[in-house]
Amino acid sequence: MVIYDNVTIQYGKVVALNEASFSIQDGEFVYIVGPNGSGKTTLVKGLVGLIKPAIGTIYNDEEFVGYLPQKLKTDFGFPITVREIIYSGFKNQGLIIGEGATQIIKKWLDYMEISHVLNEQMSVLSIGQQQRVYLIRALVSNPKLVILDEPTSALDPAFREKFMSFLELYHKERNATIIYVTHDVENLMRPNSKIMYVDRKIKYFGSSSKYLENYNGGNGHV
Amino acid sequence: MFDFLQYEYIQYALLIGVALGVSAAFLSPYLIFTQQALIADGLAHVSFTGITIGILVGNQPLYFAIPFAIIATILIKYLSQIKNINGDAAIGVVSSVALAAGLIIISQSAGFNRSIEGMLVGSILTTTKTDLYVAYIVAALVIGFVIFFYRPLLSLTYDYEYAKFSKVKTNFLSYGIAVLTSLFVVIGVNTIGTLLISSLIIFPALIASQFGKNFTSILSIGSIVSLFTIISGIIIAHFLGMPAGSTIVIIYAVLLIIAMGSKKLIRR
Repeated sequence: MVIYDNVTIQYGKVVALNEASFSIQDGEFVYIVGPNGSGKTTLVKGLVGLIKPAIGTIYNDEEFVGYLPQKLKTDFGFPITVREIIYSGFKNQGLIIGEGATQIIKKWLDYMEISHVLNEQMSVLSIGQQQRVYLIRALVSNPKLVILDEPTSALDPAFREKFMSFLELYHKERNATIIYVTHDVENLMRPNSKIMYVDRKIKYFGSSSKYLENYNGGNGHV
Repeated sequence: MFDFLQYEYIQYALLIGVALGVSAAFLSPYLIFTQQALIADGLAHVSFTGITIGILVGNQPLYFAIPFAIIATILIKYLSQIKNINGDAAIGVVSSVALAAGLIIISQSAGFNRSIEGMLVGSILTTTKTDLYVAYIVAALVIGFVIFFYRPLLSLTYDYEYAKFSKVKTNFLSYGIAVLTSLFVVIGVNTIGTLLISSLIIFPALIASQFGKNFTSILSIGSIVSLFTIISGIIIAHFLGMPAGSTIVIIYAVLLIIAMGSKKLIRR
């Protein structure tokens, strides 16, 4: 379970998120939407412990979280392979990547349709391929809480659909909690999900169907 | 042909060269890929002052220079992390103040009996047993630290924010690398010299990254390159009567040019 209790997050004197209070129950699928600069990523960073609130308390009882950041690291020439990036998402990591771990990584790469990049240096991959690798890193240890910040922004439409179907299956089979930041709410919305509309404050948090009934073309909220 | 090896000062020089070479190769990628290449240069200036005060205070300048450099390193990290001063600026502030203090101390000390030029260019051929012991202790600490914390260090170097999210002890590890660098630099200033010690940190990862795809290969290629360069540099310098530090840097530069050239050829 995730709880935001009257949380205000500031960057210096600028308030990025004001007096946010909500709770997300285990097994819920929550979309976080809102305009650019509205505080969505700030909210997510607060959840994963990267930002401390100026006021209020953030509570998360899941010790192991799968997280895909919005800004993906793409250092050209950095000596790290796809295998090593994905391995950094494992719960237990050793000095040497064993055969068992490599097999798991290969299976995920197959599923993500990029099996040929296992030993490639990360920086030679296209942005779309890199995003798939980071998605694998977020999910490879089967976390019960998955937080994805714009996970499909660099994926082609066909693969995006495939990934969304997979995520839905992952959500159902593991009763996982999914928190999903997106701009593309109309196309990606899944049934029985919830929506949180953020614009420096939590302006709406409830069922997606109610949200869509009042949705005004992506520019506003209920 | 190998008669020169019978001289104790050459043996000491080669032995300390091996310790410095491996330490530098193991530290190099963690500094180069986090844009901290110049921290070694800044710490060399700090060490200059530490060694100066150490010489004035007693016979073993390292015993004073080491804690002095560690304090300066922690100050640089503190300024750049806690006080939000740009990393380069923090290095510049601490190192220039330390160097200025060192020069003032020398100018005011009648009893300072060591050539400043000698301290700037170093003298690997005057390595003492104490230097050797300290260099091997530092090398063991560096290698042990890098191997033991290999995964979290890789995570930290590649993506600081994700490392923080993954509960990697980012402060402990980055301070650890910085303190080990300061230990390495103090030994290096005594032998390679204040002006050139940073080259030992900069070149190994740069050359290795022309070929290595991952960190393990960067560490191993960097170590081989480092050892080859330092040992051949000391030997060439001995026979041609040139300063060892400068010879090592020129060999590094030639190897970097060759590495960059061959990478282009391989790509074709």
